[in-house]
Amino acid sequence: MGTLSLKGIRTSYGDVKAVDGIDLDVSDGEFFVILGPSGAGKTTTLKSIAGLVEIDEGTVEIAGRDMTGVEPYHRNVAMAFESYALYPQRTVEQNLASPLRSGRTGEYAADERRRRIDLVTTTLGINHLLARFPRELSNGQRQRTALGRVLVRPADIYLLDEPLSHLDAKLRASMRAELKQIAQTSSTTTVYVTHDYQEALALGDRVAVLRAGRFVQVGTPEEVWRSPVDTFVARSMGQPEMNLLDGVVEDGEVRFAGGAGRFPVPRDLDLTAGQKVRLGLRPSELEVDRGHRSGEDWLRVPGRVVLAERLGRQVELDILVGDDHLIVVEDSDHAPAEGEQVTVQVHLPNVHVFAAGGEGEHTARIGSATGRVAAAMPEEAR
Amino acid sequence: MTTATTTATTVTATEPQALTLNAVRKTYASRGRESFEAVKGLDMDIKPGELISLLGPSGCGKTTTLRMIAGLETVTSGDILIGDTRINDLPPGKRNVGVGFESYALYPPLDVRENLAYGLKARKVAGADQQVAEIARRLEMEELLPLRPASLSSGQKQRVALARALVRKPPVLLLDEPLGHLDASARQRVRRELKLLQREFGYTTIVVTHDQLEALSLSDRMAVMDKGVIQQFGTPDEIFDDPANQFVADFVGEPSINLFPGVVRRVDGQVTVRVGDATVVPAVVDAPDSAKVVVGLRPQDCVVAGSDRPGAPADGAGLRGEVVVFEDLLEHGLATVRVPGLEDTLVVQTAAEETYRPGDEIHFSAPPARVYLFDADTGDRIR
Repeated sequence: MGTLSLKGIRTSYGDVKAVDGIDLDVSDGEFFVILGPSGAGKTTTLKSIAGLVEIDEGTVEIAGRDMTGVEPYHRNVAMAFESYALYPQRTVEQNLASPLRSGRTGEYAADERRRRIDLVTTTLGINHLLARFPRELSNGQRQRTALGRVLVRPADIYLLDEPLSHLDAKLRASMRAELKQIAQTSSTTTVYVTHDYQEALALGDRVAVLRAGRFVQVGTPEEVWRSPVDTFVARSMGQPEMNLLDGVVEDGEVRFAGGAGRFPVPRDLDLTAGQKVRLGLRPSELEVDRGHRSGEDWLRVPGRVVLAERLGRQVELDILVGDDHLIVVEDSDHAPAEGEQVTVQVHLPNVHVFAAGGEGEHTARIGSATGRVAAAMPEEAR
Repeated sequence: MTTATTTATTVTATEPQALTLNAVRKTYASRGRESFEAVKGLDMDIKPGELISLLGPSGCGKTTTLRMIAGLETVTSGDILIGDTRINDLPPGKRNVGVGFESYALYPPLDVRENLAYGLKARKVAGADQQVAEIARRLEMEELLPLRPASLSSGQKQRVALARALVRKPPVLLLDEPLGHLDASARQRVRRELKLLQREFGYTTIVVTHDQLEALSLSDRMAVMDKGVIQQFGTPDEIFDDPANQFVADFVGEPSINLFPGVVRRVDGQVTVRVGDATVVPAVVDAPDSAKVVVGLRPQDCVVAGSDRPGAPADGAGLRGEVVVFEDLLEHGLATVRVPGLEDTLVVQTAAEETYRPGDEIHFSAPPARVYLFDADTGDRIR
């Protein structure tokens, strides 16, 4: 049973707190993703689980057994590092065989070794490369081989540290799909660390968003996407980032963009007259009004297109509304030209209301323009 | 050939200038080695104030081209003109181009503010300090102004190099991977600001990049290069919607275009393509019966059966396959699909509200204008 339980983990390097109180329960077979920017403590969290750094406080329980203080060797976890470490003078097959020869997870007869290597290399699509040396592989193939070295060994938990970060964008997308396929067939508990939100959404059964050594929010990809607990979580998911606009409550309305945008104060949000708020609007959920939407629950704002930038099939529009810039992503078939006057619209449930704050400040989510959304509790308050 | 070429010894213009490349070649020949042709006869007409990207994989000749324009490489043959001045033989300092190369050294004893103002003050430009402050604000690097170059990260150095090139307001601006070291969110903002500044001041600008999204989003026109040759030169819309060949279609676009083999069927002048047991319908008129082709289908252009979007497959047409992996990215989904008869899996982008599970059948096609055909031997587009 590959369960993992962390309680009150703190890890520091000198005066720097890298991990600052993490509690986590990962169930058997779960694919758990930790998402965060560089320096947030992602790798240190993994190393704390693996026993590769000494933790200051807390307990690590793996498969129901207390592993705090146990040597990494005996924790029965397999970890892949960001920089793929392969023996340059050994073939792919020999590289994959070495974790099975080390004896730390039991002895393998030659045919059992071959069977495991065959299984893993077939899944990873590198079984035709067994006789090659690392220098004869492409980056993607090398990455797969490095991953194979982890997966070939039976372990209670796989720990994967940004395994796709060295690949170019296109290969990363196809490797992500392959990883997902592997995860579907393997039932081994996995903790996966990344700074790429698409990997988190695509792969994670659950996602934890990490900031400064603490989990800010833990939930399913959908929960974290739809109900981010604060502006930090909101902006860590989605490219381009969520727009944040200052708003103020006046005459029973929330007004923004110098009054150009307005909607009625949602009844169950405790907003008082004169209160300042921040509104969060995802570029992909904003659209240019072409008269194709009906219904009351749409917020509409007039503006002017300042920039239209082609991004593949989509166009990223920079639209000036009042004094604010809104980034809007539209399909290229419907995109207006630069200089055009347009009306931007968004479905009211997709208007996030956050507490007021300055630039660079992270403020909590109050609800949406249609009211409070239940069950979006900040992790720290639990 | 150009007629009105002057042989000035310096470029003095302050207005944005046209930039012309005529049959420009660069051959590296070192003794005892085979000579290598890095750039094989480039022709480009760049209008004053245009923003052009050179896009391609490493080794395609894009940086060599930029360095020839800057005067950091000699030109083996051909002409480079700024306005109507041939600059081939002018030293870099006389070309009046602004260069934002990452490797371009900053003066170590000066802080960033002094580095940025240096060129302006040397030319006794009025209001140098205000201009430096303004550019720093626009590129979100005000906090870097008091720092020394040695204490900057690679991303910060890049911003400083960009700011220094921009603040001079040169008639021609050359930028080599200007955003490469920035993180995703800073890259987007700086990219937008760069484009706005370029519009405002009207510098004729050439950007070298290997990032297709950057080229698409920044450029007025872009040249996609491979093996020292321009594969296509056009607006981002033309490059993405109307690729000239298989290389361009494959290099531009993310997730990558699906490419798979097919055979043309021509009945009563109507062209369809057999893919295994299935049929796709392109908007192609000029393809001979039985021709072997490569079909290109972008994941974003795929439309599943029953959708109200144009391009949904008619009965008996379109591709059917089994979903192997489904990635729900919430804004949309990506299905990896195994289609009988095809060696590689295809990727189909699905609408946000649809979800699939491994094993589900999916039936899809694309609007005919977005079903691209390429010659199986040459990779050239069949229209």
